[in-house]
Amino acid sequence: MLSLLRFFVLSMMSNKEQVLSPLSFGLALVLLIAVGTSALPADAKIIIYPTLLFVIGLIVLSWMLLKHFHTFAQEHTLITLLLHPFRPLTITCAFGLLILTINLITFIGLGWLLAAMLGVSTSLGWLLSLTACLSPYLLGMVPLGFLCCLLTTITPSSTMLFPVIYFPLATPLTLASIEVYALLWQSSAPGLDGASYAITGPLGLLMLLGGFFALLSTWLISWALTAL
Amino acid sequence: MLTAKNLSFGYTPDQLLFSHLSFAVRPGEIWHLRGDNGAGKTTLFKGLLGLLNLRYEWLELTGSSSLQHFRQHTTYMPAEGALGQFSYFAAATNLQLFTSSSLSSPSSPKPHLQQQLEAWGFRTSTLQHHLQVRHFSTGMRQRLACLRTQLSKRPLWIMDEPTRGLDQRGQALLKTMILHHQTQGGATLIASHHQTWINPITTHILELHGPKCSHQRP
Repeated sequence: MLSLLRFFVLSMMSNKEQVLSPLSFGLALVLLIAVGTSALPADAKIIIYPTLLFVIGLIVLSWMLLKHFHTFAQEHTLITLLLHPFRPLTITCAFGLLILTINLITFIGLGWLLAAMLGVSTSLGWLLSLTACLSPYLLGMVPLGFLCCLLTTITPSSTMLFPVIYFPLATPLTLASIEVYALLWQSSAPGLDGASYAITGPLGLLMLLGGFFALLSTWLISWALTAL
Repeated sequence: MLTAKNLSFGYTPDQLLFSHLSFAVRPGEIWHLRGDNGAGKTTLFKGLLGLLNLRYEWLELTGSSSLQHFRQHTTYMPAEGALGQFSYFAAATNLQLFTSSSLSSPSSPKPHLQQQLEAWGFRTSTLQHHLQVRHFSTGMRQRLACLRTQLSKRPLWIMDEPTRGLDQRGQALLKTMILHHQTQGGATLIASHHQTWINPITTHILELHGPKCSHQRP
């Protein structure tokens, strides 16, 4: 597992554009939209910004996965690793863990940027709540993306087929995350009524969905990799 | 070492590439897999490694029929250079990655990769500048694949057109490497159209010609 993780890190360092180009795209888009909507009132931003964060995050994640899998397909990386031999589950976990970590850092960075623009206080507690909200989301989204990439990159029209499969499947998880994140902001944003928002219910649903997608996708990835 | 009984494969059920193929490879044997283009040589290799859905009655390597065991004890040197190498890494990094969790005994000394690479004709400047494998010529990629196979220390080597792109010196080095593997008790399965190179080292021949196959000694 560790040697595989090291391999994927080395692989990313040798091919930096796979990570840097989606990240710079996401950052530019967040900045442009945030500046463009700066004149809006706080209660409008509280709805727009979480949606913005998760939609851009989804694009960044999809882009990153597609770029990696395009290289994997060209280089026969997954087959080479299987023959090395690594178990399908180990490959999935190592690659998934790395992508999850990168995206967690990206999401936190973008979320912090948007929160600063909204005037939300970003304490350690806020950061921990944000991480708790993002973790189940990414835990479900990364294996699901891995699976969709695996199933579509072997087809000639993968860049078209991937969003058609991935985005509808990602919708419930993304919507649940937006709701949790919006509630998180509403509880700490200035200028709002300060009412106590019940975050436990939506967060529970998010964790349930994240766990479901993580387990299902990981099981299916092992099957798909075996049949590769 | 490797026992296969009644192997069959076809991309469609009514068009079998080969069927009822049985053979037993023992330690120290070098098998030459022969056949015209499209006869199913690469398909057979991929099937043995579990990359294609091969049908068989019995398939066993060193006493185990598990796929993971098969992969752990086999080194595959494919005809496509990209498979089995990581193009965005330097030659030494590729070898380090492949030997880091190989099955070589922990007590055995770590091979001196630099010396090994130089012995296989890699220039010092190439190694010092950590040139990525994607910039290598076909022959250099093939030499790297040979060295990776040599360092793998696994009992069964499966080689698909191993002389592809190799010059005379590379071919001689490859031959020496296979013969050394033979003396160590290892077995090798080779698919090759390069008769003059392979004939002197072959101990057994497996001929694929349509669904029927024949097995003979050279």
